[in-house]
Amino acid sequence: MSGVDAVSFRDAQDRAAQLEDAQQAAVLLDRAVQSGDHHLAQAVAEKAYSNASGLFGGQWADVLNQYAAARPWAADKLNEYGDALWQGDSFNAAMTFGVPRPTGLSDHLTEGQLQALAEQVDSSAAVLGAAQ
Amino acid sequence: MPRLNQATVDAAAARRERFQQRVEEINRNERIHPSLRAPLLAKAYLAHKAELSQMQETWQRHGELTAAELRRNCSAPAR
Repeated sequence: MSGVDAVSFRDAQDRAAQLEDAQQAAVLLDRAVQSGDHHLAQAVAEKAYSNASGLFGGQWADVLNQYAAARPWAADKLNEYGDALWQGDSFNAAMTFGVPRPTGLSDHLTEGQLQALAEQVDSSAAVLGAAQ
Repeated sequence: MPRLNQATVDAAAARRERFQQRVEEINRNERIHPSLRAPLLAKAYLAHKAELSQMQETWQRHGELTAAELRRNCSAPAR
């Protein structure tokens, strides 16, 4: 990056830092794309990236999609952003990876007790046969 | 909205479905003595939990790497 580029990009980051909401970001990004200001477009995308993982990040995520649409070469990476965003979503992660106790297995059993119970199966060929 | 990782969600859902079927099978199969149901359920539960835990770990690792790469891309100068 040349010295001029570095200043330009820093200025763009300063402008992006002042954005207060995703709507402003979308307008600024649109303007940057129309005028071919790549530094500003990237700075807005960086800002959107930082904000999109919050609880109300949906509109910021839309800004990232807008950025990707204007830059096809970045689209794949930004699509993967959705994955990164999602994995940071503890609610969705809990819904997807959480394992409730099944009916018939007491919630009061500790992990150790569960392990001991499970080992009863391993130690009994008759039990395994009955389970088939 | 950015694309969610539907493949992972679907894979987890498929495993959950398989686990639920196994639970129903254990609870309903009259050939299984009632005293053996809890051990079988415990075994199935622990196996399922370990399976999903592994999926979550893999996914989190993938997410961390992707996020780091995107940060670098977003911060890089225009090509």
